[in-house]
Amino acid sequence: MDSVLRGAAVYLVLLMIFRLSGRRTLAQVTAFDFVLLLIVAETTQQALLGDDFSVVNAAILIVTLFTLDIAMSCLKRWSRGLALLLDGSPTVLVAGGVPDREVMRRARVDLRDILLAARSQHGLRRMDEVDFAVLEQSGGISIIPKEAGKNG
Amino acid sequence: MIDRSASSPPIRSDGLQIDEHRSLQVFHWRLERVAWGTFLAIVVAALLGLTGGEGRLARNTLDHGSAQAEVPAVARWQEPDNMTVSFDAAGPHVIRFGPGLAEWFDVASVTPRPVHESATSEGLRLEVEAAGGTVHLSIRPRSPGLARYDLEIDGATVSARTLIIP
Repeated sequence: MDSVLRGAAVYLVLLMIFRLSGRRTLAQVTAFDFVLLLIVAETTQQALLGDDFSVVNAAILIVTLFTLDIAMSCLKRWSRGLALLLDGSPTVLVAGGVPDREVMRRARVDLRDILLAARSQHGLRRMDEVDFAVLEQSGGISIIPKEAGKNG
Repeated sequence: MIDRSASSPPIRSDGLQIDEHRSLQVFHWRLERVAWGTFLAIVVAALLGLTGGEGRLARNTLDHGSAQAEVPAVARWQEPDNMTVSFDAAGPHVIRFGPGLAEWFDVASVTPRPVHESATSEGLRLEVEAAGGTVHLSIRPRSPGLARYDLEIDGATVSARTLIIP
């Protein structure tokens, strides 16, 4: 029972921290962030396992974490409200070529991030070639170029 | 199971089809800022010792006149901790912990070794020489909660409290 409770507690704490850290934290993953994620994994290991390093305990924890994740995905599918709460919704950063500065400030996105996405996704050179930019639930920025917007 | 994800997102006046919940997003941004403040508060609390371990507020010092006891103000469940009793004068001395101590903590060891030790329903009684002037008790919290216990040193009693966090 202890293992299941530990697994559930760690799952919920991580879910809450990652969600409240903001989407940009996950999107702007640098090499250092990757190392940080490894440290987080190492830190949670002790809390998950306690003093029991047996294979059975590890198996119970893995099954618990997977079960919780499956249950959470089912719940999100069933309840749109819960999905919105846990995953958020896409945020329009640029509409009709006009950047929404207030939204960008709150979402911690600047023009350089949008231009980077525009260059990497469509090879766009300038901001005036961007029709729409959307901060997706995953934390990535989707770009719709002006021509593509007109065609769509 | 009802699949509520099947409904298609609305099309905005500018032609973009997207399910954007701006009011919820604004609420979430506010919540994020509150969470960041909470994260900072947790870090500061940890630095001060309010989450157990080391720190300025991690320990309570109880003054018994000729002796001082230092007990953890905040301890972590199942994590080894320690208590110390320092004497101004040479021994022998008698230290008695009330039954509350045994209820909340396992006492792993006492250093230096007591001359006489007895655990009764009235608590743990230790007779020590305290050659170095200080007696160390290694303890391990048994369960989370607010532990209240009495500490009697050479006849003078004070009450101590330790918050045991999970």
